[in-house]
Amino acid sequence: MNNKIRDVLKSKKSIAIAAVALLVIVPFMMEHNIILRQSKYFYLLLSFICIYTIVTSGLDILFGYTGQVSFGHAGFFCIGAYASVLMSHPEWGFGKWFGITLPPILTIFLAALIAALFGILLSIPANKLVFHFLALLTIAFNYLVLLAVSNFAELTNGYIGITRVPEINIFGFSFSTISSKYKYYYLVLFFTILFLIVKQHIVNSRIGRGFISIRDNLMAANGCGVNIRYYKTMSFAISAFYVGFAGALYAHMIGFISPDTFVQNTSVIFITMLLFGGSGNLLGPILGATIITTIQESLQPLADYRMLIYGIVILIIILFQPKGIVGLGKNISESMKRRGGEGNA
Amino acid sequence: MNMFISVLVGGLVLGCTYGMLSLGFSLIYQASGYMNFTQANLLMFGAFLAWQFYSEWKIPFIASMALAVVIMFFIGWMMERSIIRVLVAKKARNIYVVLSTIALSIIMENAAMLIWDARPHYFPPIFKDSAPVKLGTASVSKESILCIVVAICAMIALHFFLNKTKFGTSMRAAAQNKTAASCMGINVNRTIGITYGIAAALACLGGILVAPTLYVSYGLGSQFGAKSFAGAVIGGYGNIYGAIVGALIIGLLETFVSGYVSSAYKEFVVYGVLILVMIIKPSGIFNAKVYDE
Amino acid sequence: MLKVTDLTIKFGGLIAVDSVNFEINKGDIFGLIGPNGAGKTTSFNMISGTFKPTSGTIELNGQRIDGKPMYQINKLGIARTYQNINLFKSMTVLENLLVGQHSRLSSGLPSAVLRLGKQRHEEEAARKKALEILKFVSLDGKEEVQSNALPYGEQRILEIGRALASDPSLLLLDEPAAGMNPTEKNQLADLIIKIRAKGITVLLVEHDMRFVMGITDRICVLNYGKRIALGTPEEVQKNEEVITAYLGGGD
Repeated sequence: MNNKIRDVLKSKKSIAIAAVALLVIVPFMMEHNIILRQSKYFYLLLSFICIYTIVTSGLDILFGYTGQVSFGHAGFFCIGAYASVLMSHPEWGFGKWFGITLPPILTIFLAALIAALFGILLSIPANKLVFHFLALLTIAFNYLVLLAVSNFAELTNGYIGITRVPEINIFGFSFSTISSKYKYYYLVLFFTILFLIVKQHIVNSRIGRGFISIRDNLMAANGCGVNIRYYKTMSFAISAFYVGFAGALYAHMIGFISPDTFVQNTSVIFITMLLFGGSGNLLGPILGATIITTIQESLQPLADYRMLIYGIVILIIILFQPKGIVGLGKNISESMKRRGGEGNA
Repeated sequence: MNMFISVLVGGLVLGCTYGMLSLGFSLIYQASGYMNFTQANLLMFGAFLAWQFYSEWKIPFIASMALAVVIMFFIGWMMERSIIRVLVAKKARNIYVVLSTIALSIIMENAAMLIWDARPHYFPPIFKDSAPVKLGTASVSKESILCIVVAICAMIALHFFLNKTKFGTSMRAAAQNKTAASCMGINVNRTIGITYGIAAALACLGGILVAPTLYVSYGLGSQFGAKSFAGAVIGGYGNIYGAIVGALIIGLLETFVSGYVSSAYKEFVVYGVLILVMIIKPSGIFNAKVYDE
Repeated sequence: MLKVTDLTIKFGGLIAVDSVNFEINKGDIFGLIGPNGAGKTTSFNMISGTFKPTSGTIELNGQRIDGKPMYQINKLGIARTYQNINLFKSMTVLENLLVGQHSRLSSGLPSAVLRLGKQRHEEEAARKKALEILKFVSLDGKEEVQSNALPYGEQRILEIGRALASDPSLLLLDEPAAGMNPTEKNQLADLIIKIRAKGITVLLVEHDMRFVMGITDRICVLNYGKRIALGTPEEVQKNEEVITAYLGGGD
């Protein structure tokens, strides 16, 4: 029995390693003309998928594991993006006020920490609320962040936004973003894998069990010694850290940020990605981010019809499979198992 | 004084419009326990329908309004029947039902953009004689007064409908206890469907009434969605009287802040107050169940 | 070890529990009984931290615990089960027992993120302990079953196992025999006696008189929120007031 479990784990691990290897090697071969040369745009798409994977995984820690809904995570995305840019930009924020800037590779982490701090702040009122009220609170939070960013124009250039965001470089090695996203993709991929591993570590620990116990049964969690408020706050903070970090990566990749990017619709897209993929596991957020980003981008040529079709696709899939894509996979494997079990009996 | 009256009337118009949506939020929550994200875009769609009938096809205003309201009632009812009910039957989690309303909302917004293009459309005046009404020394447009009057009529009608008619009673019974209600011979599914219809009709009414003071565009809904939801929550979610009070508070707050302080701060104040309410008294003015612990 | 003094709680104007006193000795199986609405579950919930008493004190080994939140009371060594089963449904049996150990484990966020050696050892030990508990409550072999897939009786047993996982000195059982068939009840009685043999004091609220009389050392009887008797099962059975409360007073 034990060996079997170990085998499954091993095979899962080997699948993961194979997937990572593909994600590393295939773009490399493409870039070097070995197979199917892709446009620069292709790496941008891959990078977007990675960034949104970090976002949805972070949201998953909050929603999928702790059971706390958020319709305002674009607020944390915004905080991460602006914090990192303001600390590293020579013309705005720190650069404008103090004449000093910090290297972007450092500020992306600081920005994530700042986002986590806001997560803790938000959790103070949020911890007490049930579903609908939490939804509203997070929506309000999103608006407040946007309003703050748009109105402190002296610091943030208001609605116009900030251009020429500095690039990330490590010890002089530049992950150049203007010419091609090829190198940046590897940087983002590295962080994505790191964040996914950390997520697995967290959810499979005492902390993660605390989160799940809150989602499953508040009363029993409390009775088992889980300090509900503390764990909800921690979940908010970790989730905000993930999303803030992703926001910072986004800002340094695109090179331009403005409040428009972080509207409440963006939050809705985040939660759509998560629900679409399936929450409370490793694969769901990855699939959700990948599929939704790909759908959105591939619908680009349809111009005005894009969002309409996007809405219809989501609606149809929910009607067909109201558990997310991962749920679909589980259903299939379960029904296969059941059939196998019947055969044995 | 002039300014006070015009700001007050502006606030009431806005509050009544929010109120039409908040009522829908509360009704649907009461009846089915779900959060309906389409509400704001139903308002937009209803306003467009009325614009189409009144401005393009030159149907008299009253007929246009009635027609739009009936069509929107039907759309709301269909939405529940063909989507929400299917998901509930499939035992989908609460959040997936919410997601389906989000998807519907996206569809509606973009369908409106494709049908009526992205430009804002001017809603022609309702009254031939467009001279404003004098209230003391202040002048107020007739459309604003119409908006307030119709909204109040709708609220009173709803009150009587819920409390004095047999159908209203069965709706309230179904909201309180579905199993018991269906044991009493009430068709719970039908009442839920009709509740969605009523919510859509109210939203449509709100859209039509606010249209003459604003332009009609596919983005009209997004101006109202979050704040009317906030109104419903401030009032005490699921309580329809609370929803109206909450919506009026938000509407008045918004216009008074932008009138007397600065319009740059109005959103700050509205969302700030909202967060404060949620910290201090999350059950709203009229208590609702919100606590987790 | 547990001393309840003048315990009182009011809901609105209604006094649900009125100046109740009792003391539980270490190593006892103590029964809290009474007709419906007597206030036994309410008292139970005050001891476990669900309700805050209006007045009166609850002391565990001399330390006041009344009004403390449930999670702290658990940490102090009181674990409980529920009248209506409250398992973590999406988790396996083993995971339920791991959450049960929450207060006794210490690794925090940094050691979880970095998966330090210390944390891995702790997890390994916790797993081992969970398996031991499963064996103790005779659910061994079911560790990978999802908890809500267990039959009803076993879910109740698992809840007791989860409570034991936190190494309590006092175990609170809220109607543990409810809904069980006679065989299951016998097994449960054996289990409770086995638990006491480990040195754990047990407080149980129960409806089934035969069950209570068979295993408890001392009993406190409540009626309309007041204590009407306290003593050994034999003493209580002879008590006039108890007899009228059970035979004549019920509604």
